Amino acid sequence: MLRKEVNELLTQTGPGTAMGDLFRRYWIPAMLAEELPEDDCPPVRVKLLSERMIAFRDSDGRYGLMDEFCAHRGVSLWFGRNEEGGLRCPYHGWKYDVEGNCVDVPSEPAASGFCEKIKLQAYPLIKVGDILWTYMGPKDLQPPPPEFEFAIVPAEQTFSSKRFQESNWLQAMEGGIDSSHVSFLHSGNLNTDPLFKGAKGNQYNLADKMPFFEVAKHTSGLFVGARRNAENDQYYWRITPWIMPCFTMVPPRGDHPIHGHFWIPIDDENCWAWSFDYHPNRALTATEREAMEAGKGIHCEYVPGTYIPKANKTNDYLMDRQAQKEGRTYSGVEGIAIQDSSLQESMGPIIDRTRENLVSTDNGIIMARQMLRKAAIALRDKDQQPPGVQPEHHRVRSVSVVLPADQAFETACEEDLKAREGVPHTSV
Amino acid sequence: MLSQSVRVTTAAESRYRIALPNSRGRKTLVLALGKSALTALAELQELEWNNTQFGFYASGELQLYQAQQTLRVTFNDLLDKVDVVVLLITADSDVDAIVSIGHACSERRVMTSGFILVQTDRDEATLNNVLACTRKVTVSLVADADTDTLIESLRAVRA
Repeated sequence: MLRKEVNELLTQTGPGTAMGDLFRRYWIPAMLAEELPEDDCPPVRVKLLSERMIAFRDSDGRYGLMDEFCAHRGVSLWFGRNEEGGLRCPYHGWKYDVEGNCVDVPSEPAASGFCEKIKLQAYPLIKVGDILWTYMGPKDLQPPPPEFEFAIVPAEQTFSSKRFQESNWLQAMEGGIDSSHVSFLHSGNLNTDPLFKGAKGNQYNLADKMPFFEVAKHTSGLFVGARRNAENDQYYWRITPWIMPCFTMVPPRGDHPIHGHFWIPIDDENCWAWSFDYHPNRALTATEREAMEAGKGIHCEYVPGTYIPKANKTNDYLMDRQAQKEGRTYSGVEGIAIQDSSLQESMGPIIDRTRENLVSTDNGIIMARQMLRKAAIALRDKDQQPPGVQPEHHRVRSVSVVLPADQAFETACEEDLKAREGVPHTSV
Repeated sequence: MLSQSVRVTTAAESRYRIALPNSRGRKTLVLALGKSALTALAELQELEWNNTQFGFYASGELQLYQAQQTLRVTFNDLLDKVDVVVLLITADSDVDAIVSIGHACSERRVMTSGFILVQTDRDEATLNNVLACTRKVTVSLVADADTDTLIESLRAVRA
């Protein structure tokens, strides 16, 4: 359980909140690059950390992310004209560049200097991999660009997607840390999903539904090790890295690509579940990419033209009781992503953690909350830079491995847990 | 027509969740193994807890600290009265004791978790040996340099 005030501290990420300020010290995924596919393309509404913004790509290919509303009369710039190096409000023609500077007010004489007095709040928007990232914190503390391995491998080795989730970010992320639900909720998919099936590790997963847990702190987060019995007095370990504040990786299966997630607050009751797949040392095959685009693995199918999952709360997640009864899916909901979102959304927009009954095997979740709380308070009270900001903290990998019973995963897998260019991932 | 899921997952509808307690208190035993763990145990005892007892186990003998008293009790008898055993372990903990307690808990289906208090001045090989033994008998294992994480974990499970 968590006290009410701590639950509020961790779940509120708007401007001026402790967690909101914490999030604003990191580069976070804002959009897929495909959302701004060409120069002068239509602008896109973006809401992050409870701030409404407009994103656009100007005539010179520069990306901008700024206050959604025109400084004149508060019109949404989504209606704007993206032309000649800026976004022009269609109401009275005020125009802004990618840094939020007002560059034209047609009703005022150019020499009046009025333009120079108008500026919208703007944040940097940079492309790393197939994602546009933003940093919404103090300018003088902006860290170098992110170096998560999935984002810096060549384009043919990686695939990213995002889906809208109607819940607070924390209950979504806690699902990413909690490895024990895989043996239940996702059990129907391990041997059928094209991005999971065929791995030896699946057999261990399905044979031992009561994993033991070991959690190790590292500089910028946690390694959560879930171990299950393997043959000859050995253990099958699935090691999930969590990097502050909201990056989790799924331990790999066989030679399948590695998956992972970012859990980004839109506001306190909605978040983006970002999902990626990448292979560290080979291109994704056409079959793999097709499967990802079709919503297999940790991705999902969409309502056409949106990033809203096709199976969502408006259609009861396409619940199939017959599939549940026959064991084709454990919960009756199809697909790993929607199996997670359906249950996390069912908790309500922000779960009341004063009523939960955690057990010792929830230590990964407990420790992540502890690290977040401590970091948010240290930032608020002592202006202390939180862990996980620097790019070197991003270079981690998830691991699945069989180890002798007497070996500690964090020492036996010290190298395997690091992202190393061109080196295959450690996977069973 | 709105789906059931839409209707029941709103913040407004969350107000109608039954607010009565949904669990009975679990009884937790925090057991220090090894003299170096005693200082940490004393720190924990200073704090307020719900259903938590504190004890020290060495040389086959269990001392239970209760209301300013030290009671000598039989571990197996005590085990019948607890739901969770948390082993507070240091590098000088007796590995035979860890294993025998772990097996006793396992036989009685008592959840056993381990917390290793890492002291930097201790021999790494000894600590690794203790870790390896503890790993085999605990469902959950955490190693840390101070007791903050243990306190947080105990609070989270309503100890």
